[in-house]
Amino acid sequence: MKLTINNVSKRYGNGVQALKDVSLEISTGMFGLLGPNGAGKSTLMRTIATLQEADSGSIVLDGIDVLKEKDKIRRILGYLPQEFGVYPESSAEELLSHLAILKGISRTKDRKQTVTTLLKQTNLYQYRKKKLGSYSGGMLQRFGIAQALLGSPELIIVDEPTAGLDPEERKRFHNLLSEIGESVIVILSTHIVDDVSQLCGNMAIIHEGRVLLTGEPIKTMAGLQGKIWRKVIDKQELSQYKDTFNVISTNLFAGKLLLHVHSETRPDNSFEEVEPTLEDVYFTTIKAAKKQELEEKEAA
Amino acid sequence: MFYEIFKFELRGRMKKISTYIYFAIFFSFSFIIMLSMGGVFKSFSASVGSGGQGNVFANAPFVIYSLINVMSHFGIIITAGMMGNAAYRDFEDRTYTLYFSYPIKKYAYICGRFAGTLVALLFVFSGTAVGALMASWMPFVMAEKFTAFRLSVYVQPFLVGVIPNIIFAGGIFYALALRVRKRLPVYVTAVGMLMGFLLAANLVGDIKNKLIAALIDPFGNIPVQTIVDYWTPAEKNTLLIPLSGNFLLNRLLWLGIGLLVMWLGTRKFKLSYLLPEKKRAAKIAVDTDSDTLKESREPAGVPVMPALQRTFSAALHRQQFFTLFKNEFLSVVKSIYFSVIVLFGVMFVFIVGMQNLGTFSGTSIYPLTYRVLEISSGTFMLFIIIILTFYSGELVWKERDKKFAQINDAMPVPNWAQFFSKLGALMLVLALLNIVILACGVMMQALKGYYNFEIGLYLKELFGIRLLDYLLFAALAIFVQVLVNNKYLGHFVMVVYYIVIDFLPNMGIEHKLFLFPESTGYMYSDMNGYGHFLGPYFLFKLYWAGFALMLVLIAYLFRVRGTDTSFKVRLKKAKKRFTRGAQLFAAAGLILFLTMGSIIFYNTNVLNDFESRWEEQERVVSYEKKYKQYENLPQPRITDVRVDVDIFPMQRGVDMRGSYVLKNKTTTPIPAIHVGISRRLTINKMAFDLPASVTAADKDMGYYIYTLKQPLNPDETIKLDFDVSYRPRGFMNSGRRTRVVYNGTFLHSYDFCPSIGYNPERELSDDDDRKNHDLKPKPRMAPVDDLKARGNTYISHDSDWVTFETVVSTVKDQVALAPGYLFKEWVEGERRFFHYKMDKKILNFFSFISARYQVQRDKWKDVDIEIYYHEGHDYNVQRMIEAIKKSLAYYTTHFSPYQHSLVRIIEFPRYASFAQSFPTTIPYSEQIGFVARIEEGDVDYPFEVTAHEVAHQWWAHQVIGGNVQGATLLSEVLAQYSTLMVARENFPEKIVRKSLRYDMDRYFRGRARERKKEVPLMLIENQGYLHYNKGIIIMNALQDYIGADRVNAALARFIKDTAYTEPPYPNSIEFLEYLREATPDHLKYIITDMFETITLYEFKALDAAYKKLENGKYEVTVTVQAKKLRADELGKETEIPIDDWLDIGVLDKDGDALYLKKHKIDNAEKSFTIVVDSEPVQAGIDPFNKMLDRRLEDNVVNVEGTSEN
Repeated sequence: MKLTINNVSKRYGNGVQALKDVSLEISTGMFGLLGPNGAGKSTLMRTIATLQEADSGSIVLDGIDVLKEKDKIRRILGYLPQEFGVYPESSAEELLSHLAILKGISRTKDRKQTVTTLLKQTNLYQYRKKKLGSYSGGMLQRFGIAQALLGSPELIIVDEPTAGLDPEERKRFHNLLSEIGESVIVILSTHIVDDVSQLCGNMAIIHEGRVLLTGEPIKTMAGLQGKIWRKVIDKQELSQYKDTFNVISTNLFAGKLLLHVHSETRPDNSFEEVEPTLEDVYFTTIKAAKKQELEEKEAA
Repeated sequence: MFYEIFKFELRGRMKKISTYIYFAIFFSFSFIIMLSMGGVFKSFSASVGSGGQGNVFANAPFVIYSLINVMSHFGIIITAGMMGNAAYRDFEDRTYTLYFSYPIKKYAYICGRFAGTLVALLFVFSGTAVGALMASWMPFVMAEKFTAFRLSVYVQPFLVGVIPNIIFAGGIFYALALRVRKRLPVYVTAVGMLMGFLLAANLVGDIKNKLIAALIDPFGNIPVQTIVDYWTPAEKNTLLIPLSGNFLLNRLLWLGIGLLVMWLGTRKFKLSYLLPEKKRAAKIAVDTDSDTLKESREPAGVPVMPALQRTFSAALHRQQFFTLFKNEFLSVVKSIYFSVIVLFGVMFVFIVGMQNLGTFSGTSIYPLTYRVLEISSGTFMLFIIIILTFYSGELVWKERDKKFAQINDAMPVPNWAQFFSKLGALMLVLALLNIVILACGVMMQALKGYYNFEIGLYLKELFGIRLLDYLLFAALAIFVQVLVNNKYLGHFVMVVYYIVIDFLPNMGIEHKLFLFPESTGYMYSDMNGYGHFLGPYFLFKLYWAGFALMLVLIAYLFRVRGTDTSFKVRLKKAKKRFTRGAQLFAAAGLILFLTMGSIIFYNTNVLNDFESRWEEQERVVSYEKKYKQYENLPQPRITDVRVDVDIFPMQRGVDMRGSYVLKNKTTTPIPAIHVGISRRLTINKMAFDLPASVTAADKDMGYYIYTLKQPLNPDETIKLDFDVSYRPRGFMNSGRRTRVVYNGTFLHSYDFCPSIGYNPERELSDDDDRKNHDLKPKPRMAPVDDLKARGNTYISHDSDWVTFETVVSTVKDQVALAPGYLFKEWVEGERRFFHYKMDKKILNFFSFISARYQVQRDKWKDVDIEIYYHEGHDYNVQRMIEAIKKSLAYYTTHFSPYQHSLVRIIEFPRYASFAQSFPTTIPYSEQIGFVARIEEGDVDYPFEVTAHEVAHQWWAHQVIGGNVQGATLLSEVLAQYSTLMVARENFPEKIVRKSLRYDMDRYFRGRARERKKEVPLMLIENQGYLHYNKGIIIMNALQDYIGADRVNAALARFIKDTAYTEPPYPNSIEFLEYLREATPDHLKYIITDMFETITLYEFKALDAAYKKLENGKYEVTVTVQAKKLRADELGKETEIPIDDWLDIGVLDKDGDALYLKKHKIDNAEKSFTIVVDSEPVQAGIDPFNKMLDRRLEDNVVNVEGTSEN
């Protein structure tokens, strides 16, 4: 299976350019879409999920034109939006069963079995008769996942799925996804770098509507080998360091600041080399993009 | 602190554009209405409190009060919005977390917000006052419709009306919003209150206890209504609504309740952000979470998914549709607001129904199914409209409101299934509501002890007819919601639509083809069923169905799916959705719309002339302009009438062949004869038996002039033969044409027979209308002593007394009737013929009737009595027969012999609701009398109506007044008197008094609505409230003063002198001489008071006490006061000295008189000491309300007992 996104652009009515010439190639397996808030992740996801039109470009899944043959896509789509609600008066079982019909599971027996399976998978089985209105945030999120998996989808789009889950639930969810991701395309958008590094065989970093980087997390990390340096400094020294070095991230560390700096060579002896993480890849990429933008602006 | 919050709130409000938009809405509505009342628009009229109509100024205090008050009622939605917002804004914006962390005092916060919003609301509502004021200053308004500006007139309504109402309603909204922190419940409450206001108006008249009635209305309309009900134009023009009595109590009560609710609602409010309910929910969540944790420690075995077979076939799509449909339907009917609204509706149906079901304009009738349907559907309609307006928004927005839309929209479900499941669900809900109406109706009938449930009629009316309208509305509402794509704006658009569609006809858009979803309407009658109405009705509904199909399709095409809501994207998608199927759908709609539209247009505009109200008036105006010159032209008079009439009920047509003998009763030769005939008739023949030529033929006006070769000399006669026919051609845009119908034809002579000369009756009569058409005002009637006008009776302008003979034919299963004796009856082929003949000359006033009848016959002496009634309507036939007998007995004894030997009552369908007396024959509407339900203690009004109509055989058909002021004194007033006397002989005095009291009320209401001028009885200008209601009160008082025998003797003499007189016909001046002669000298003043002036009294019993005497009797001392008033034409009253004979009475516990005697009363307070035999309960002046007095209840007071010494 292959999803090809070609030069997709989208500008909203209020003038915000949400996507600029986005091109991606996504094949079976987990694909992570990483980017800060407002980067255009959700717009891209919604566009793939048939909920939004693109101004230009094309999206094709194994020969199906996503932008035109929406109904065909919907048949094989599982979608979990970033933010969603439910009908508080229905029980999980009722609503899931209702949605199962909408997903095309017409036979009662199939439907029952599917619903039961999913409720068990998402650990909601014992609350299946409870009204959704009484569910906690985590339970609702799991319900959302359950509905996204209805009808054995071949393209699963999950937008910030682990937000609101506790660590245990998150782990469970990761397991579930990675299992499913073996045979279908799963697109996962998140701003949590760890989610991607743990789950995804492929990823893209997206910022201000543009794809900055695509590739396998391991390879991208390898690309930074020997270029990431760290140092612990006092807080008040930060601005001075920022002026001098290409600081990509700062973390608090025992009351002091732990700097990560991107540099082809060791900046000075007080820095020590670190094994690059995906986080470093992410910040480096974003930082570079911001810098370039600034230059472009100044030039203009 | 309070002031700071108040200021902050107010400033915030005044910065919002919406505040000014609301102001502008009020301003412009009020501005336009005031301009309209100020006579600016010629073909468009809107009025509040009858402002600008007749003699009431457009800016009269009462009108301004009504305007400001009505607008503030509709503004209750705005009150709810702003007050609710003031309370929940902090929660909606989540600013409460910040706000509540500041050191604010609770009541400073609550009251500050409230007061700030209150002031902003006052600003908004002041738009009405400012708009009205500005309009009154416009240079182009008619100056004579305005009185001088008084500031208090504009301010006072706010003080006594608007402000208390905002505090009451706003307080409730505010407290509610503070508690629930949501928008919807506040919104629903507001709609509930608005409905309450609209419906409360219906109930005013029916609540007996005036205090309760005055207090139950939170907005104070009912007490105001009872205050102004009797206000004359003069009072409306000058008085402010007095804040006293029940009105004051009402204001204090509801102001108090508002404040109390606010206090109770805010008492528990804390400046914290957790709702108690939320806490509960949170707790459950915690519990379940711990379970989760426990369970998740277990190994996570992943169960196996079944292998699925999914085929996206048509069958699946249908399955998807039905599951969605079920889901949407349940989402409506399970919603708590739905139950609340339906419950409200059912409650109101029962309240209104149980009050009104048994009554028709104040009289008691059987709860017939059509009547139940009219009342319950009519009442419930409002709720249905609310439900469909509200839930169209809820359904269209359901997924988005719940943030479920993204999941839902990404499902592999066809667009049509998503869309039509919503539309279908709404429609099913509406159908369901009709079952609710049916259940209510049947239940009410049973509660009223009436068990003839016509379930078939219920189903036909509810599902065959009324549901169509609701479905059409539903299509529109969904269309609006989809297109507008904003729920609240959508509701607003619908409300504007409901108002505008009602308004458009006033603005000159009268063709029903433009008024969705109007039709030519229908009226069910027991006699005629749905008659000929349903054909055109369904044509119109099909036409609108075609329109609705297109609306629905547009909604389908433009429905938002997904997260793109820009119009560009929706347009793009709409184009994509406009597939072959959609095109076919659109084409079906368009074809239906166009074909039905063409058929309708062909009927209304080609087969018939379409005329707007203005054009219709224009036609009448040009008749007057062209032919008024001939008004006084000498014309021969009709002396003999012979008409043969063929009625074709199924074709709703009629042929008339006949001849008039005309005689020149003037002293000059007549060279030309002017003939008038309705333009809707086909004239097959119109010819004189002497040589004559048509010199003018104006078909459009129905005016023809025949010039005679030889002028018709005085006393010579000429014969006019005519042959005309009428067949309806299709149907018209307005006017139901109910003269000739399938069962229950009722033709008036003047509709189908030619008349001679110019007919001034056709002229525009309303002075405002006349002015708009540049005509001079027209007096309603000629002056009482106008001798020339007295040359005609008040019902005919071309004849005096005529001979009459007719052969009427109809279909075989119907009976055809006309005045006169049945001479011969025969059947010829499929038709049945009846030959009627009059043995005496009669007025040129007759009618023809045809229907299937049951007949009940009886006899009084040698007079035949016949009642022709519709099968099943035999409830009161016996009462009518009794009434005829009793009436004949009384009238022949006291007035004169009956001129005929037949009295016949004939039922006709309820398209009109009157009874009318023709010689020997009384057509009587099925709606009055025939279905009356008279119980012990009720006024027997079939008896009264019958007695009244029989009396007309004397007072109209023996004695008839000339066509001048005071004419109906000699007919209607005397018929009322006759009725009163027969009733008195046959019913207990209490019932008679009850009936009179009803007349008293009608009189005072009637004069309050007088558009031109109130006149004394002797100058009466055919005003119903005078000749029926005041007439009977006055005649009752007269006979009480001088005795019935003297009155009857005077009337008998009057008949003897004036019956069957030739012109000039008698007038009221002559008549009053008879009465004056019969009146003893010391009472002569009453003739002046009663007939020659408008004289009213204000009686008051101040106090009364009794002590028991040793002989077991009771000595009562009562103090009373009396004022006498004279009113002018506009109802301006001035006190005059009083020196009158008036009743002083003492009543026992049953209200019967222990003592009743006339005493001379002057202006001073007077005390009387009276000894009575048994225990007195009440005492006072005029205790039985014989004289005209607005306030009847203070005529007597309770008698206080004193200890024995």
